[in-house]
Amino acid sequence: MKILIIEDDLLIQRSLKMLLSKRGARVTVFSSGNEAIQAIISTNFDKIICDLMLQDLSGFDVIEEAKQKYTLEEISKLFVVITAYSSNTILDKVREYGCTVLSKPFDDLNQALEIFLGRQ
Amino acid sequence: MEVKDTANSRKNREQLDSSIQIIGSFDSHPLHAKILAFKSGLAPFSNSYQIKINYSNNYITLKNKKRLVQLPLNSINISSLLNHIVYQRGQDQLRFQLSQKQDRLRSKLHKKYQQYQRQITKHAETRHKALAGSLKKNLLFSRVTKIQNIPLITLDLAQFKSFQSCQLLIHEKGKPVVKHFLFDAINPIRIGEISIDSFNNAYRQIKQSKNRLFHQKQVLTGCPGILGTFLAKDFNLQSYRILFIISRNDFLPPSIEERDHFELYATQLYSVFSRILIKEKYIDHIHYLKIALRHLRRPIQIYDQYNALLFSTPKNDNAEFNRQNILPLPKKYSLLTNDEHKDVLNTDAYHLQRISLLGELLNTLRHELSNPLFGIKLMADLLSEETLDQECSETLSEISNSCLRCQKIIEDFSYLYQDIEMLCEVDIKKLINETSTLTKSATQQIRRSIKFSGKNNYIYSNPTWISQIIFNLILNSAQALQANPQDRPEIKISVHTAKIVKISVSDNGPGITSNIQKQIFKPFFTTKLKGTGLGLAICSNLANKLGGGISFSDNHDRRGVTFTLWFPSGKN
Repeated sequence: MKILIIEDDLLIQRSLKMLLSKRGARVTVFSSGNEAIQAIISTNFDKIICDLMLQDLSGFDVIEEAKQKYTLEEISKLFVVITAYSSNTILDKVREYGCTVLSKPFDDLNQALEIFLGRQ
Repeated sequence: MEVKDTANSRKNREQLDSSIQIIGSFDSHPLHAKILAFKSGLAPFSNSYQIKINYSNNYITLKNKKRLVQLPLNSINISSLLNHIVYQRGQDQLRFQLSQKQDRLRSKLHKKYQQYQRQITKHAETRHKALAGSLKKNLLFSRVTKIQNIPLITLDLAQFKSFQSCQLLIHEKGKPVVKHFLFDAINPIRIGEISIDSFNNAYRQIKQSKNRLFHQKQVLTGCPGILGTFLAKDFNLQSYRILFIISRNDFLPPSIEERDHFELYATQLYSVFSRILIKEKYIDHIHYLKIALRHLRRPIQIYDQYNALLFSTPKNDNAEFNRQNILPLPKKYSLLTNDEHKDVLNTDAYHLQRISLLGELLNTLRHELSNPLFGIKLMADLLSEETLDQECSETLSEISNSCLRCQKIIEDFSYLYQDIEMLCEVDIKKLINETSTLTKSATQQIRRSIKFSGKNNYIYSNPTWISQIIFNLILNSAQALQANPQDRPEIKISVHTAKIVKISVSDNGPGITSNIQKQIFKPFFTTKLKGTGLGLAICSNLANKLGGGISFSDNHDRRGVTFTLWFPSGKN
């Protein structure tokens, strides 16, 4: 299973990579949105875990760019958005794309990991 | 009419709870009913009102037997009151002009009436009876502006030329005296009073007489000026009872023709009475309203179209007037006042601004802190599992716990600032505890204690507002205690939940001196060098929004004050 993590906090990056690798996934990480987009276009990932707040772009921009390659339905299954925001306006916006949204910190870590691994 | 102006004495004026009581009788009439009664929903034609003005709260209170009504003294209500003053002013001016001419008119009247008489009889003889009738009407309706002129006019009429005296007895319902107007050959007009008993006797006799024929032996007791034979009519108006009597000094009973004329004339008089008496009443009414307004602390000035000052309340030097064209003042007049209530609106806006700023700040903070904490906890948990070193594992576990605590704190405080206008289930214990914790740094050397009592822990209200208010009250107490250091400074918070929730914040500080007690809730009032003076004003406003209020009292046997926030629990 190929997973892409787009998250600019290094500690979170590292932890998630470790957690998911332990469960058998092949994890790639990017801090920058632009680099991530290039990777998305050139590679086929099974899951993309994307933070909304990145240094150069926002998670929404990344998703928009992914539309070049994928249909809306594919995007809704491919992306999992993670964010520290809990405001309804932002969450509604994400829901428009139809993706799963998880708030940081995760209520249930195991459940979150299962979602990342595509098992839920 | 009595007017008791209790605020007149200086001592009373300085009393903190200053209010004026004007005890008077404001008989209703559609016109003045409009001023207050209609607005307040009181049925018109109700009896007397007691008017009380409480200008610490800016309210007019109307009280009669049935109801108690409060009207806020905002510019709209005041302008309705003043509208009628202004309108009346116009009428007064007219009246003033008229009365000046009256003296000159008096002598002219005689001649004019005689002229009219000749015309009337001339037309009556010919076929123009209608004209005669209308001339007669004009005579009465246009010329008469004062009650006391009626006897004079009456006796001038041809049909009553044999009569020598005419009098009016007017009793205002509810009053203990009766006014008496007498006109006869000797005196142009004599105005006096008779007792109500005499009047009642006379009234009853006249009313009960079926054929309107009175025995010469039936002397109306207590009625001066009745010479011999008399014709009388009773009138029962809305707020007056009137007796109209003409008499002559002989024993001949009045002829049928004379009686008919009298009946006809009396019927016409009815509307004249109504018109004049009510107008006079109205002038009195306005007079009292002016007194009421003059004692308002709110500064008011009314100008007419030539910018002449018509009316003003005592000058307040600090008052800034803003020109306002407040309907329904008649167009040409302008009302200047100082709208204090603007400040209240301002505090609302100000508060909203502060809250949303705080809310945004909190959001940003929360977000900025969440990420690092999340990372730390994740990694600590991971490494704690991975490591084989027992001590290392435990240490990492503790790091993870610390992170959890931080996250919980953020979560708890986010609860306080969610949606500003929202009502929801509130764990009041948790809320007060958290709010108290928020004040930790401000209350460093002060002992804080919280006591809970009452049935429920859950209420239905707005947690943000409650927290804001209590936070502010605690802070106020803390600042007072710190400015006046003393032994064992203490802040006691007690919460009682019932149908009405009461939260008290009590300190043992220096207290609040009585001369500023009434001002502390006013916007921009502060005793602190760097205070904005808005804290309590905002709290008071928020308390009102909660459906309750804030009160305070001295701690009599101990030092300090206690502020109490009360509001409905929203639960049955």
